[in-house]
Amino acid sequence: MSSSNNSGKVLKLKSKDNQIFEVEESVAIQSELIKNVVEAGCDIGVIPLLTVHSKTLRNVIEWCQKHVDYVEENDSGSNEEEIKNWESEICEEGNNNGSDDEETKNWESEENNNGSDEEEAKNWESEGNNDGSNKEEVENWEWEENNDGSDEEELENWESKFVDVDKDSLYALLLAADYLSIDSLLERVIKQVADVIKQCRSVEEVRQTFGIKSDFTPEEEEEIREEISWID
Amino acid sequence: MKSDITSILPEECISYILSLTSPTDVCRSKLVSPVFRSAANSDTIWGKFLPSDCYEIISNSPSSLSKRLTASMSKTQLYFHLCNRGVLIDNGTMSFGLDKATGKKCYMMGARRLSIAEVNTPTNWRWKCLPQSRFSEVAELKQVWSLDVKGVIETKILSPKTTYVAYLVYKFATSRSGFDKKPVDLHVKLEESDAGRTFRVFLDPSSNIPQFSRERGDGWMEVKLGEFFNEHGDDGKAVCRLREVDNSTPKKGLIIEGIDIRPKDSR
Repeated sequence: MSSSNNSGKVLKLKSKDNQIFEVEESVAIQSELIKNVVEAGCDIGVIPLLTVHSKTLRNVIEWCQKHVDYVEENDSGSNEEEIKNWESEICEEGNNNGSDDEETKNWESEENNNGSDEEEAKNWESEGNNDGSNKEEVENWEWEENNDGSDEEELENWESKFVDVDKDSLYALLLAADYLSIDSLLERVIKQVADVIKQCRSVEEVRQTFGIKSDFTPEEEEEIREEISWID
Repeated sequence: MKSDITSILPEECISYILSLTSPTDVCRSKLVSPVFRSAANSDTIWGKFLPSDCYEIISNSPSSLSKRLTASMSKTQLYFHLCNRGVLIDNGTMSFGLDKATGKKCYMMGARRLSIAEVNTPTNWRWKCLPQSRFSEVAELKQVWSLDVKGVIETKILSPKTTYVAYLVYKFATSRSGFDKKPVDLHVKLEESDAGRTFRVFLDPSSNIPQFSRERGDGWMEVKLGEFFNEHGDDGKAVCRLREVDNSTPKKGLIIEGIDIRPKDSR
């Protein structure tokens, strides 16, 4: 039922400090860099990631795994497929008139159930009815319908916790996401740093938060203050 | 001892990070360090702060010089040009600019674009060319008994989710009368709603009465007509109006440049 093209292939990634990580291909190709390596057929043996330390790589892999899992759980494309399969299975299975009490009750709008398959299929389709053999598919479908919003929220919360780390780890994640070309991670980390800057109440606070030494001359500083004097 | 972010991340990254803050935050951060200053001047940042339909709006400019100027500018230069000077559009009847702190759209409707009662009666009003105006003409009041100035703007051209304030931009001729003894009624509302308050103020108050007008800094005065909230731009038109219809006093000497519409708290 999952729509991932999980061929089960496992890639070996080597961190800068020579640790080997075995990662499922579907997870690793969240990185455009690794995806290109795979598509070029160069993924034999070990893929060296020269600038990424194992500590960071471990976290990056966790990010990629979470996002692969999220997509699998929420792929609406596969739900449409499920509905189509379900409809055609109903037609094939034949007449289920009266075999399911629930179904009978739900056929409120149709008094005279003559049991023609197409009509049943249509009713079931519009009422979201469970004919038993496709219970799992229906459950997933309904679950997806009802939980769309909160899943996204759950991912957002997870992402926020993920980037709630010390500055050095954050920079390492940023550089790794940039090198590996993982857009979702790069954007989230950058947003995190931007949010911290927005919250700083003064220039000095920005400097302290990010360990920056300012080496402006007094004249340069005066020049800039003049330039931004429009800010109240 | 914390590592210095600017020695770990490339300047490009700093620019990208800054682009997710706000125009005000970016400008303030120029003071942080030389690297931040340089990163803050990146076109990536200011390009992001320009409204997405910015170039489309500017292409409406009547002046080919204006078009050439804006076409040759970097995004950073264009942003600040629009904030500081604006660009004339719609046959020169309207000026388009940006609010520096937020990048939201601002417009000034020139006097030619307003509905001014009896403006085409030469004994009442005349059109003048004043060098300090951004528009080619301003309306000068010679004398009326009944003053009625109205400006209408489509909410769809404004930035969404923004509270806008409308101001009458004006000044007085050397000799004026009628505005110290009689107040004017100021009102702004969305045409499809009945909400909107009317303010009654003196445009030319004697010294013991509160002054509601203020100097703009470009040679003109402005008085707030009212405000409205633009959600998605689908509220039709916003109507901004100034009226003084007490026929007992003649009014003279008011010069109108236009009606300025800009986000609240922008100055």
